[in-house]
Amino acid sequence: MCTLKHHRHSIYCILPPYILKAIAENGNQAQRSKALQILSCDFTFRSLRLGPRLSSDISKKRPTAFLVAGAKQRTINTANNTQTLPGTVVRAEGSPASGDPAVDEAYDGLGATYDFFWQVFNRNSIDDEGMPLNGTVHFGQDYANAFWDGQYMVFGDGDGELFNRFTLSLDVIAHELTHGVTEDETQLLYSNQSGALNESLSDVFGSLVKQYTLKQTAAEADWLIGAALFTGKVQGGNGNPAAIRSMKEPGTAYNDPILGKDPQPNHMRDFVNTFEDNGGVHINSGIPNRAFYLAAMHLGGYAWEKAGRIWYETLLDSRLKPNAKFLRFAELTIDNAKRFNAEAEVTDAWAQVGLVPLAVSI
Amino acid sequence: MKVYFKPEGGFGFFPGLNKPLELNSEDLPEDEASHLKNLIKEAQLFELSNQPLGTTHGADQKKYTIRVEDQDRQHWIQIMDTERDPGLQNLLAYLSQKQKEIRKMK
Repeated sequence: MCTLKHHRHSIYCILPPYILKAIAENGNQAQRSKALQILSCDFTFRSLRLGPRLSSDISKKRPTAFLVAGAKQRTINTANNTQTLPGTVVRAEGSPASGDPAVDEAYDGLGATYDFFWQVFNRNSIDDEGMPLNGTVHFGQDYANAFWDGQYMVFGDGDGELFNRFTLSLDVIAHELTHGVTEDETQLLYSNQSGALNESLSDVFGSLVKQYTLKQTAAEADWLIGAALFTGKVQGGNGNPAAIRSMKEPGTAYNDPILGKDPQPNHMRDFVNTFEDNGGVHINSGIPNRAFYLAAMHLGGYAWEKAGRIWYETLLDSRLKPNAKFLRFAELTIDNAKRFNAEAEVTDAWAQVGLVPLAVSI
Repeated sequence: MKVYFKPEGGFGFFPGLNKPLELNSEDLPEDEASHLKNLIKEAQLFELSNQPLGTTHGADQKKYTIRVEDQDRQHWIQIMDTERDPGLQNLLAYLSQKQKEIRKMK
């Protein structure tokens, strides 16, 4: 802050934030402007310093010596309708059902997701090292959302008007846990195409957890994400009940006077360029979602056995970089499909959504 | 005083729920206008940094942009649902509720 070569204004030196705030409030126009500029830099540096500290805190909290491969460690908290994380513990691993539907759905849903990753891919939790699964329910007042904050899977109760509680759909719980897996493996940047791939991977494994639990083949599955989330007031698309997204037919999950029409494209020719939604991460994910659906249908049987395995191997592939775009992801899935004699099916799935890799460059 | 409020993000993108809310205190009943001004004062909004929020950790989180124009000054901030400051939480709760009310009236 004090390294300006030609001019050193006293305001750039060691003023603590509370003094800068006072200047921002009481100073003249020029002083206010400078103080705000410094406060904003100050915030950036404090945030940057906080990042590594948080990461080390997380790793310190992992009691890895006591973890057994294949054994879940779930803790469900309640935020008691506040916005404070993690809230208070209401159910820990092995304790009986609480009688609170949101608590028990989160507990069971995280358990089903853990079991899927362990039994199908031999993956031991989010970090493959047995990381405890921490969920928080009853977040906020009428909060219509679920999210992964880097440590906790957080679920709101819904607003009761358009959205039910977010623990009602198993694929939504699995979607949030998968964000943790993706963050651990590839750190796909959460914006634009890499962000849409991040979202698509959460939908893919979210849907697979539901199919695995219901023992459904690709042909039997509904390929809907969040089919239970909307209340009866929300209108679906194409005469179907409303859902958040459709992997089979992106763009048709809902068509409602209040929500609007599902904006997901199902082909690259309809790719949406936007600054909203972190560059359309929940919009353009429709394209790789449909590619996965098509690959699973081409390959037949249980989707987690071949198509799911190929997508999982790609998620673990060191060639998948944080800024990867759709075409690179398609190339890598095609390359990984060779080991499963599924190159033609996967290539065709991507071609049908408008992505045709010329050759896989290793 | 004019207030612009724009929610973004979340588990899905719903075009109808992402429309910005614009309030002009002169158009509000006197009590409510006074309440809004107090919320902004208590949130110390004009003193906060307005760095855009990064997205290095986590996914599906909602973020909110709040811009206020008051006489000769204007300022914007971005906050998330996990915001801990009670003043900002109260302001966010008011604006979210207001947006819902206006949506219902349409």
